[in-house]
Amino acid sequence: MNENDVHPALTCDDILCEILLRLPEKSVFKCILVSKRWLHLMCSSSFRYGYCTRWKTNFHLVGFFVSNHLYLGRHKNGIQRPPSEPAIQLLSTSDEGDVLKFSGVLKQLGYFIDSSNGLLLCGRHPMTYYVWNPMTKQTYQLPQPRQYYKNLCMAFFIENCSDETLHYKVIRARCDCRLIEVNTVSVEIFSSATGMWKHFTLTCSSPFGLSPWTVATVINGVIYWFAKQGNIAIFDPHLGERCIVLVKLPTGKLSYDYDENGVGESSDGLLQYGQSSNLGIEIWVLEKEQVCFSSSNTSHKDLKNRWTLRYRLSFKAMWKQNPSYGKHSKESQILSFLPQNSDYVFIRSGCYIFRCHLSSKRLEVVHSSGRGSSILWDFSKVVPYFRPVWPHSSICRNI
Amino acid sequence: MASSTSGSSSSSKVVKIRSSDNENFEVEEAAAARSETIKKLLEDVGDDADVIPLPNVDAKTLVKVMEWCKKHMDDVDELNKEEMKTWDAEFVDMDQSCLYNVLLAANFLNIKELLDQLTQKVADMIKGKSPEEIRATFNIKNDFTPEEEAEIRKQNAWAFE
Repeated sequence: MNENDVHPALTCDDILCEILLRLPEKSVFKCILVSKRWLHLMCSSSFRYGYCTRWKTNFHLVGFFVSNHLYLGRHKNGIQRPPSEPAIQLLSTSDEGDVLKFSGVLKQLGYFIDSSNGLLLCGRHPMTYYVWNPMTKQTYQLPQPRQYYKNLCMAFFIENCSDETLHYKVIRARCDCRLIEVNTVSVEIFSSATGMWKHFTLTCSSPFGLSPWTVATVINGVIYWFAKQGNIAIFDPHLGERCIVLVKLPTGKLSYDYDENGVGESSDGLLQYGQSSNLGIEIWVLEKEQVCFSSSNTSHKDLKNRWTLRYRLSFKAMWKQNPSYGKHSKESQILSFLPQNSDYVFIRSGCYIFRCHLSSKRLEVVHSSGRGSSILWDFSKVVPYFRPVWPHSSICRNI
Repeated sequence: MASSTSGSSSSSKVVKIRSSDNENFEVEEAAAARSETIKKLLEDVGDDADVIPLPNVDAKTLVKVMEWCKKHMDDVDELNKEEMKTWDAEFVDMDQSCLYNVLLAANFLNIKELLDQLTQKVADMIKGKSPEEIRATFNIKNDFTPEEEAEIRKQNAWAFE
């Protein structure tokens, strides 16, 4: 063998694949530029599948959707959206976001509700819902729901499935605003596998109510909704018991008097909860310990669900760490988590959105909407829109 | 488990294997059977086996591979885990051409654990390197035109942030 040749061990696709699968995402994606062989291998669906199973999905921020909740579920005499204001507002942070923003697609979808793995759920409560797929650029209109809920909350998630086709579920859940005590909730679940809505009644051991006009965080098919009186309502469809478990939110020291909060998925697949006051942010994860829900019909107090504080970030210390942004040092708040990520959090301060690295307190501007912005921050929910990404190249098709 | 007799110690049977350059080796069966390929061959030929030819592996590489197999012949108990880790780390620390030869042999002989250690070793060599540095490390020729390279960078800008 010539000294200057590539060793046969590295021209064997099986071996090369095994090697590349061991690289963390910071190192692996740069490898597409090594050679055509490497590019090819990495663009293949089998490598993608292998990599995402071993590591986790790599998400890319497309932009932020702004949904003004003044218009949500409005009554006949409620506030009307001025015609000049688009129903869906996207603060783009990427080329892809720019394309999407100006493509006209968003105009046909109604309001933004939620996104999951890049799929968008949009529509107009209570009848019309659309799912838009960024890969196929196609819109699917869901059949009309059969239950009428005056106030509702939603959940939208991709189901883990073994075959190539993407299946998702949409859940609408009634939010009772009356003051009577109820321990059941009516939900309607749409499954893309069947193309139909199905009605269920979920039961909880104690009276509760879900928070209207919120969306759930879904981790491995388990649904976490905000509930009233500072609770999280957990519904695990795998258990097949149709029951809701309530967990009281933690109170916090720094953020005791919180004005913003949010939930997300941590890097280790747990529910993380963050809240912010004008002093700073505190973030917890819900540690799961084995709890037997399937015992008799006695009350299932989930004593073994425990919040563990992961970060306590004082805004003062944060601005000190980032002197160049110091002029914003007022009215900061937690905006959102990043998908499957415990290292960063989005923070809004004035019309700036920052990505904050929690352990180093370093800030990075992700978006600034400028002075001419018409965003009514106080009435809007600003939600990051992420899409799973994977390397691709037109060269792959030409070899 | 209280008993210390592991599956392999019951017989110290020896098998003969032959390298591509026609050198014969005698190895304990339990060690040789770490290779799924040899294990399968042994099952197929049964006790009639004279010598098992391995046409893809030269003597120098085979010695290395069998050294590993011998060390990993028995199940490791908790006490020896650390020691074994150190041994493994030293084992994979060999010159590049030898490393690739053993890697290729481990793949052919189907020794999963060894393959894991070796591919991890090569992955560690890639970690943190730029595409140019990776090419230099492995003698890989850049077969992209500058235009192609620019296009890939543009289409996957997020990967190079």
